[in-house]
Amino acid sequence: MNSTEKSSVERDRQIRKFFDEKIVPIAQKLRDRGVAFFAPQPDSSSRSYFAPYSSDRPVFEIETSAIPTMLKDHWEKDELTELIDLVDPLLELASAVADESPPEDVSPFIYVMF
Amino acid sequence: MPTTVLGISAFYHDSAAALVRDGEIIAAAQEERFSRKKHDPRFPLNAINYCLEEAFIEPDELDAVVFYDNPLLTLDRVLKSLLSVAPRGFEQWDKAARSVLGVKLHVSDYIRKSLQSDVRVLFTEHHMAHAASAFYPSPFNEAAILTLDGVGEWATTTLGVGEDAAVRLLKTISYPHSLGLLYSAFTYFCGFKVNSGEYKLMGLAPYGKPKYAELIKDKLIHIQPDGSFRLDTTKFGFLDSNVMTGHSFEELFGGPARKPESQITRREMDLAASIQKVLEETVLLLAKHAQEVTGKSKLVMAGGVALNCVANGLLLRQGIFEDLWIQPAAGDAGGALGAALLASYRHFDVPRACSRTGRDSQKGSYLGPGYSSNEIRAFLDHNGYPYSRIEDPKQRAAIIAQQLAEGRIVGLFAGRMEFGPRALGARSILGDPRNAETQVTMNLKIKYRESFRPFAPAVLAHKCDEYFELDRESPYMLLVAPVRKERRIAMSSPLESDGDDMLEIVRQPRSDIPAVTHVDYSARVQTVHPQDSPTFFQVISEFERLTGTSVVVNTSFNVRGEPIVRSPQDAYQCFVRTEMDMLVLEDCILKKADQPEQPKDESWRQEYELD
Repeated sequence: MNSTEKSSVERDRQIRKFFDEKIVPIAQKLRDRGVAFFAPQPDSSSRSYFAPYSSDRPVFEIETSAIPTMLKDHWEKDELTELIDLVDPLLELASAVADESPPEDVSPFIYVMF
Repeated sequence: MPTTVLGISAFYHDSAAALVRDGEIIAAAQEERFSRKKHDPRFPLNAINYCLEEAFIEPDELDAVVFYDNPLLTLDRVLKSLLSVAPRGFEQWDKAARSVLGVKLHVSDYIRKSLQSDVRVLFTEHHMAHAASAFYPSPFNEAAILTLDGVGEWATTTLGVGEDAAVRLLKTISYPHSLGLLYSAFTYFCGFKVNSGEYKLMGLAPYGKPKYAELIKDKLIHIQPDGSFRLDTTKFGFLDSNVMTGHSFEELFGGPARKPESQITRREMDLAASIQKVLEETVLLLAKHAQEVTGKSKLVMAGGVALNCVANGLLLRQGIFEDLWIQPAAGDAGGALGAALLASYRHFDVPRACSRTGRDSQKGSYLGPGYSSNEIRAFLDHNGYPYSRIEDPKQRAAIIAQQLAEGRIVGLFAGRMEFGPRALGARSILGDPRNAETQVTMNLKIKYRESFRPFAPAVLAHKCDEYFELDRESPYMLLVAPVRKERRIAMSSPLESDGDDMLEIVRQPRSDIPAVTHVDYSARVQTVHPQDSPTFFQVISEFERLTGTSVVVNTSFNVRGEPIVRSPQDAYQCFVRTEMDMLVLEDCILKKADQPEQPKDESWRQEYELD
């Protein structure tokens, strides 16, 4: 196995590990706490599904060095301590995938959401 | 010193760049036209270089580069979506992680490195970019705003208001509840490609009956009286897998998704008709609510769903608003333009010069690269391709018109390339709309695409209401309108048949301009104005002089799966690979019969994946 393949295998492993060791347990904790990020189905008692659009700045900056603080501040507003604790591991994973080339193709099977 | 801003959309689909100077659009182009890779999602370096060249500047001279999306909010949505389904969803996370934690997290650095410049990098939110792209180039000082797409960061639908230089979004619907995702789910299920085949679904709809519409509203989407809606996400696959629909969806519609390229059956036709009806109902309700909330008499729209020109035409005819303007590059490519405009007006406080003429400032959407006669002749001479040079534009137009009148197909390459998915006479293939066989011929022998797909008319602006029930300009082919009743011909093989054979329906003459009349007597109209497109206007005028018909078939200059041609080289290649009869490259006219014999090599068909 050459070094490129080794890096790719290592990246795959880290992505899987993050999912198993971070995402899955946090998902359970949030469910136990009754936290839901969106309603998955219609609500027959509701009269409107609109929410106010909230954004205070039409144009803003995002410098790489500010990303950890911006993420923590964002999740702190909603008291999502589980996600605040996730920031450092997320950025560690980000370092691991930083060399991955951006996608070259658009999937024909699913809308490009990320 | 002028304020010069470069907007970028990238890393999702339809990457693009747009350059705005003191609020004026100088250049805009999609990366796919340069890379020849349809919907190219990669960083649009070629498009950026073109925009800088067009403005005669270097990156260091930019006041800012503006990215059209907030990657941190997108990361927030991806994580929260995953956390909502885990332990399911690894398949999606495996792809998402590489994307949202990769280059998208370090956009500022990536831009500076790519441009080799310490330029200031700014960001907008996705639907703000769409809103800006809809409002600022419009001819309106004030308007209601509707943006509708698959998803940005969280927003999938927004309602807002534009006044002078200010754009404010007021209400939103968030992921996973999305009209774009709903329509894409049906696109996938009917066997077309997601992210590119949605307009095929729209074109298929008139062949079917909306027999599933109530089922869709009962089981898939709940629509409120104010137009807001919520999906039943348990019926879809996009939350936790890499396909749009799953088993629950199949159960609703009696079987699995249609396999791509397999025969389209009555089920797909009826599904297309049904989802189109549901979409239209929702858009109308949203528009009504937007009018009530804002009190404005004009509406502007953007976001990929705003490319649904059938819904747009219906919206216009309902008269909820006095007027309607839709960004021609309504999808993600237009986000680059919106980002640049938003930064210009809201960050750099460039004053907005509102229209005094009632015309928009999109410049006909001819915002891409053009080629001089010298450049074109250099290309032709270097390769030994025979041509005639006809410098007089009227004479040239007459030659083209004569060819069309004799039933021949002409590729027209004139002026700056269009920005947006439609060809508007700068990179177009033209045909005679009077001939009933033109649709089948052009589909099978020129575009190499599905024969059910209709072609669109380009009509002289001042003659539009003689052909179509449309009382205003439609320069960007974003409105579908009925062909006038007196021009229609009753079909002997009506749509009410339950069979699957669409060709039998397609071959029926439907009007005195059958090649551009869809099976429900509708047409996706482009009105051609001499101010926007003098060359194209002249061609159609000459055709009118010869034939008495003020309309031509206008389809995009490409084969199926290929992006619209950008350069003379692209155009020549498409010309010799198809059964086009003549190619016009600015003032150079090439006849197919005169061209050197091409190698009998069909491997080019593998070059472009079928869309």
